[in-house]
Amino acid sequence: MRRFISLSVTIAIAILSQASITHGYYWFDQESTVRQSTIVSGKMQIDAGTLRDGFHTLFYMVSDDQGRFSAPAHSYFAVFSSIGISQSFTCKYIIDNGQAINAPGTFSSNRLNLNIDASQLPTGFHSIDVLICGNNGFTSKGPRGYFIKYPDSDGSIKSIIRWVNSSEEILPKINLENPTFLIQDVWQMPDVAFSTDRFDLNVEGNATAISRNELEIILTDKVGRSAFAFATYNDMRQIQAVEAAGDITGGGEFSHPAPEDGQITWWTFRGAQGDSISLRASRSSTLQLFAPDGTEMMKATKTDATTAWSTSINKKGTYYVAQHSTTGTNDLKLIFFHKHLLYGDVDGSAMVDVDDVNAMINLILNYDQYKDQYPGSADLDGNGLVDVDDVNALINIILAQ
Amino acid sequence: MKKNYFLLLAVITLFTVSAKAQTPVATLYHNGEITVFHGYNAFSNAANAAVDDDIINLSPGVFGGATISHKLKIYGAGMYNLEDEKNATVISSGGGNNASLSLVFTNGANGTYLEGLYIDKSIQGSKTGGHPDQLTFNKCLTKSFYYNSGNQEAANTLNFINCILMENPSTIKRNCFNCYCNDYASMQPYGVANNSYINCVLRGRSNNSISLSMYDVYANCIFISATGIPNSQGYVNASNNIYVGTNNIFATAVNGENWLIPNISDVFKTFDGNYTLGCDFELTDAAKQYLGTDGTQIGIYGGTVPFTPVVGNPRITKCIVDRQTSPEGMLNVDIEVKEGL
Repeated sequence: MRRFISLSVTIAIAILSQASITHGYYWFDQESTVRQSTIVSGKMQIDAGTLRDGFHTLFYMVSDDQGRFSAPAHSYFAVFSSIGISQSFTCKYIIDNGQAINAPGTFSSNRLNLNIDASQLPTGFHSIDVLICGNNGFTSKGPRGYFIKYPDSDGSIKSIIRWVNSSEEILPKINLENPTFLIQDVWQMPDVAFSTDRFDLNVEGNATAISRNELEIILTDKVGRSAFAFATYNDMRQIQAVEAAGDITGGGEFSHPAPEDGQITWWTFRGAQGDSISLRASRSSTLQLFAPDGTEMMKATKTDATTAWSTSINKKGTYYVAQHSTTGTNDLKLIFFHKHLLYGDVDGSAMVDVDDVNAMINLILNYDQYKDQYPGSADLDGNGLVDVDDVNALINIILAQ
Repeated sequence: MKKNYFLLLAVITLFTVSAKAQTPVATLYHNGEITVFHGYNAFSNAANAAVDDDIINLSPGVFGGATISHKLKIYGAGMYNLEDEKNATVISSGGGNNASLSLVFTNGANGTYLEGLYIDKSIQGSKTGGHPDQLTFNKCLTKSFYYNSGNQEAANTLNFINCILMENPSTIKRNCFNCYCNDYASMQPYGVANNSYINCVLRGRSNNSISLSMYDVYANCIFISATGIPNSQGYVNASNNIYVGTNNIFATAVNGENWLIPNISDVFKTFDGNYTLGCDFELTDAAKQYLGTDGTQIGIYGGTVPFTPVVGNPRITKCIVDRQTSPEGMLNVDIEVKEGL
């Protein structure tokens, strides 16, 4: 930053000779008039008060009490007017190399504060140059500054737009008279018909399928910026009873009249930890598998007649299979494979007895030979190994029978 | 009761997954009226329907690219969200019907403002009718900028605030505030003059020189990972910058005070010179002693607009919607909104 030097307008030149020097003479620059000065305490007093700011040349000479004159000498100096914070000044600023604009400015704690109207500036990046102009014509310019103008902002919510199931049902727009940051309301939801594409299974009491809808919300502030919310809810006006067409535990092929649009054919089976299952439909339809707690485990949409969908289950209880969204009117068939894994049935006899203990010991003693063949039913503690701990567990199972 | 709690937990888990699967939504705000667009092409459809000074809002999600032909304000949910990586607005391909472009700007898009976007493909300024000018990106991540030989004379200006630039727009005049600029050396050989970088971290392409264009302004920046000799093309105004390395990039043709620090670990607490999404650029306590021209720390967390990915849109801090309606179809909602930054 440029520094401003304040100099006195009275210049004193020390006279090095003795007291016999009595008079001094001087003139500035191109002046033709020689001014006379007195010598005080060996110093010649020179009045430069009429000089303009800037660079000057001083010529001077002295005489003694006998009227003898020295040769003229000269030196250079500069005059700067003092610019203090109390001195009046004007401020100008230049945005993006444009025109200089007058701005009121105040000094406070050695800081210059400017109030600049940026309302007409476009959003984005801008440069600013500030000029301070003293009443003596002196102008200073600080380093270029940069700033950003953001779009107007106000985060409070002015309007709410809502719709259900990806604009399938659009709810009336809510305009808020008093924009707010908190939306607490009770909304009347549209009565959307039950769809096999969106439902949840409720297993409490008599199992039911309840319509599930997706609610999307746009909250918009006063300047048009938005926030998005998304939620799902069950519509308690759209409930279907779950009446199983049959128990399919153990697997097999099961036929049933094709469900109509919006209707579901339900099947149930009893499963246990470690069971393997596979589902296939006789023709294109949607298959869903629900756990005993109602959680959807698998969904195969419009599966063909050749693809089987397999999984394993890890919880004992009643499982639900939903079959729907088929084409045609002939009976629809479910082909179901269900393999129950009997823990401790090491020899695969469908019984857990002392023969399984012998088979397990044989497996342990010849582990490298049979390690890739032993059934998961031998790993009773589920640690990935078949060892003496599994033998103890197997004996406990047998004793408990 | 325990069973019910488990059921509730299971259902909540189920619906949390569902919430992330929502389709992308764009809204077009025109004179107080809002039009909603759904799906992958929602952004493009909204942009095509927009006129000057309209506002487009984009939900979290992945959108196809768009051609911007009007002066718009475009707000996304953020370029990334470290708390939920999927809660970002990603602009994918398809701008100008080109698989390699996310955004195409025509000259009608002069003054367009974009905020909170992860722009996954290239950005192009269409040459037809003159290049667009004064495009401002705030809190956006940009992958690349599209060039061809005919576009080198581009005189348009791009402004970046709190952005992550994975590649520099070499043929375009640019002003950057508090940005991370990766691959900085790529501005060669088509560098344009009068660029401004304020409180930025500029990472040069390894083993390449950094080119400082004529009349560039570099203030309060940190230069890293450029091992070559700088190629200063003229007067450069560089003040209060740190150069990580041993080459005195500011030895000639600059003014102001700048510093050399040999090791990057003496400058950043954790950043090692390789950008990963959301990584931290906090300075070491020693590096914080080097102050910028405005008296604050140098780098992207100093200056007047410290870096943050948090967008200015209203932000939903609580959204509780009842799991089910009443038998009459009434639904309770409780939503809390916080003003964005």
